[in-house]
Amino acid sequence: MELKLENIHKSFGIGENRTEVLKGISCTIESGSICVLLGPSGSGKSTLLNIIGGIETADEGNIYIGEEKLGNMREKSLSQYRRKHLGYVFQAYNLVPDLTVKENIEVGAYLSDDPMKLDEMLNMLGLWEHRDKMPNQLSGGQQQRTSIGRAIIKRPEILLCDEPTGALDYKTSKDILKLIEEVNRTCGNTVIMVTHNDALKSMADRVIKLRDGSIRSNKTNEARTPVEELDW
Amino acid sequence: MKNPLYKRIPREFRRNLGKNIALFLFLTLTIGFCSGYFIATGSLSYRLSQNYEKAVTEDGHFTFDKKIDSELTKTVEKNNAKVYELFYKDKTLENGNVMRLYKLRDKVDLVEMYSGQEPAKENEISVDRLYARNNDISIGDKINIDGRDFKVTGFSTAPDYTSLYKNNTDFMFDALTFCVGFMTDEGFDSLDDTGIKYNYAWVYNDRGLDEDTKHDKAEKLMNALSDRSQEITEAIRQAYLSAMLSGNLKSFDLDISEEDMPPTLTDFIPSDSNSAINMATEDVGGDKIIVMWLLYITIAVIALATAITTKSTVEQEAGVIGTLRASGYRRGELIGHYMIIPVFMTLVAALLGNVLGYTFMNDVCASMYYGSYSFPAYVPQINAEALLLTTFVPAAIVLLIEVIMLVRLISLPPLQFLRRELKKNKSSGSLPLKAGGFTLRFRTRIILRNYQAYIVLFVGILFANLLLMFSLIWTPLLSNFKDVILDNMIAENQYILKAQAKTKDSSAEKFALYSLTNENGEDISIYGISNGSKYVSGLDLSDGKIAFSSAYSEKYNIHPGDTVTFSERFSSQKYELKVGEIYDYPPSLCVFMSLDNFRTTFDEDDDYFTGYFSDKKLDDIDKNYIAAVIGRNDLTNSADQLENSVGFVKLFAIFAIAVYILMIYILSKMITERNSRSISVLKILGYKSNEISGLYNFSTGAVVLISMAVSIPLLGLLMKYLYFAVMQNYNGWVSFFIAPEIYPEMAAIGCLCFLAAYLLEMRRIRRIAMNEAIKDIE
Repeated sequence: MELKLENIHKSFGIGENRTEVLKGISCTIESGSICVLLGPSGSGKSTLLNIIGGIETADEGNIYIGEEKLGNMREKSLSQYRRKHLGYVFQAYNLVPDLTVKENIEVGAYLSDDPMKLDEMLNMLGLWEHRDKMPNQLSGGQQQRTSIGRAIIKRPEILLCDEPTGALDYKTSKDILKLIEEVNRTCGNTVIMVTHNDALKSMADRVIKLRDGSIRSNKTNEARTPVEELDW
Repeated sequence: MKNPLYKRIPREFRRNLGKNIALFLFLTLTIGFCSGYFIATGSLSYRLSQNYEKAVTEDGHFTFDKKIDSELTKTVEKNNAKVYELFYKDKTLENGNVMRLYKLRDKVDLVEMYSGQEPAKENEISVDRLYARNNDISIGDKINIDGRDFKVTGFSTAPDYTSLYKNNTDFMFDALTFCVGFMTDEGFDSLDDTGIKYNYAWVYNDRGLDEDTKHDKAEKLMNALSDRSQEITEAIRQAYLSAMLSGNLKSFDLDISEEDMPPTLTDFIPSDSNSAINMATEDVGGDKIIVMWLLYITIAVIALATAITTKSTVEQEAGVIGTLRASGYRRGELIGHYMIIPVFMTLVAALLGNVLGYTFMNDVCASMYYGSYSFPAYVPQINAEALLLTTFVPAAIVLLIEVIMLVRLISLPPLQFLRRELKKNKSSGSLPLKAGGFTLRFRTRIILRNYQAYIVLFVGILFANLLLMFSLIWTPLLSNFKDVILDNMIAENQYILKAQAKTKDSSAEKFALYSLTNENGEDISIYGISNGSKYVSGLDLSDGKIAFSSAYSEKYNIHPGDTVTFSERFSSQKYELKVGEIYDYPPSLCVFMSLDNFRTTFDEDDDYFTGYFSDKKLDDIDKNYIAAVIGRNDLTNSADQLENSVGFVKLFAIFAIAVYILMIYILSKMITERNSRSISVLKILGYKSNEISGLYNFSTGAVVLISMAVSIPLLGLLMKYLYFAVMQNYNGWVSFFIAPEIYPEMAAIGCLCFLAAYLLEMRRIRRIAMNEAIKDIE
């Protein structure tokens, strides 16, 4: 599903404390691609991701998801939009503490009429043998895998990842990125990933660099570098 | 697909197993008690309402000083009613108690045997079940009446004595020293007629009349009876005058004997004014509102505490909620998820409580009434209202409180959850605290951060203390009342005479006594006091001045200068009495005037009096002239009976303690859990568990102490108003008194409850591991 952003503005605060976080962002993200939003802290990348995810509203501008205009949606429709089209992965894994790995993934499956097969998903995530463990019995990487499983099991057309490796070590980060890459390849969903790690730009089809709320560059990679070959 | 979040519910329940079991048991027992109460009272009310038809309960009764003639019977029948003889004899037993004896009835006020058999022989008797219980009388025992033994064949109840009022004007019924017994006709006739009352019950031909019509008809009947009685008196008076005028007075004197004197109406009580019939019925229904509110306030307080706990859980799981909302979970799904445990638990507790209500608690609750009233046996009835009031309403209260709290909280945008920005106003946590040392500031911060929980704790303690105070005041209050009665006795004995009799005893002092009804329909004793009385001293009753007892002043809030209107019960005659002064006499509602003023006011002869005050026994008065002797025991009887009736109120103390401990436990547990990470950090820093407990539990302790310091004196004031409101419905007055020792007693109970919760929390704090702080925040 193609995503089109038109002149997105967003400010926080009032009066003298008003800060413009996004200053007219416009871009198009192609269906089935991996898009990396790069930028230093405070550049507005997470805010942009949240606006795309419908959990924050833009002060100005339009977002089109396929043919649908996001700005026209009310809270109920937004909730339905997220339920149907989006998968979310955060830096903090936010797993339900009293549910096992398998059940946490089921939390995502519940939202879909046609979810992916749970056992296959557990195998793909490498969590089969951990499926009955509680989140507090897992490592950070395993928790993030679970959270990715929860996001993708409902076959979202867009997978939004906010610093998914921000809390992980190098090796685990790589494993998670490989997983995201594999999900994109096998499921064909559009992946939009926020990161401040410049090295990740190579794994993307499109790299948008933000600084001070504006797009500094918007480039496409002719050929993505497999995550396996990335180093930082 | 079933919502997978449901799978965490049993785990969540198990995780807080201790708290949930305690809450569940408390709710089940509370609802079980209330359900049992509603079932018992509903079934009893139904049983009593059936009495009207099944036991042919009278529509009223009247008493004449002698048998009525056929003319008076016709007077009743003209008023579309049937009249039945219900003569009785009051006999004083060897132990001083009074037994009111009737013949077994077959037309009206039919007697039901609670256990045993009806008397069949002349020397057999059945006695009231409650009196028998209070006096350890068993079937087969013998009771001596007028020197003869009568065998108790069974325990009976009569619809006209569901509460054992000796006189309708008594402050309280008396199931300790007053009893109703039934005998065969032969047995009744075999006793001498001393103390016989010519009592008649009437029953309207139409048994379907409404209360207003019955009331109007009763008024007409009373006027008809008293008019008829006066007509006869007038006829005799005219005959007497004619005889006098014609000089035949001597012959007329010979013609008229005591027997020929017309009967005089001495008592007339329609059933709607008869305390012996209505008191129990009204009481059975009357406490329903109190029990219902008690239940709902309890549920609301508990629901508030659980809502605060739910809120804390939501705050701790903000990230999860934000992610789920961002993933497309709807607000309703999450609200439903977080409130399901408290609502479901309340619903299950309510259903189980209802099962308890039908199987066990109804008997417990009914026994409270069977301990005060003479009810027939009852069968528990299916009560849809009880189910609604004790199942759906409590669940709805919990649902409402949870929904209000959760809707407000979960309506926040997902992003705020993800950022853990759930508080609209964050200033309370960052108040600048400069005064005091570190520990004081730390504890203050805990209180500020958890102020909502502490407000709920305050409400809970206020409620628990209200129940506690209500349960603790009665024993000392009644004990004090008895002391007050005895300290303020006018005389050791009050001899009420049937006819004027003389005594040579120098301690005796004449007085006159009359009964009038005040505007509230309450019977008030009017005393005529001899000049220079040594028994009622310090009063200025000269020049027609009138004094009101302090009990009257307290109950009706009257002051010197006010005018109070009284009336005769059976006539339209009214008296307006001006309050001259308030006489410090707390035992009863009465009015004092000089004996001369009394005679003038009530148009009596110059030598009129009705009895003697005396500190000694007056042995030189013939017993036949004495209607009653009021001594110490008679005065304290009502307090004894009241003490017996309010015994169950002591149960409130147990309930209050349970509320106390639960509230402190639930909220301090929540505070500990919310701060488990900080507690873990403190442990890493080297703090000992008791030091940490000192920081966190001290804050809770301080709130408990402040709540007690505010609520106990506040309730002391409030209780007075509550007490006045409750007691206004009773005849008579018991002075309000809170024993000073109740306050420290309540404080001590509060501290012990806190200590119990403190020890539990101490254990919880010890269990918090140091690695809690280094876990990833979820």
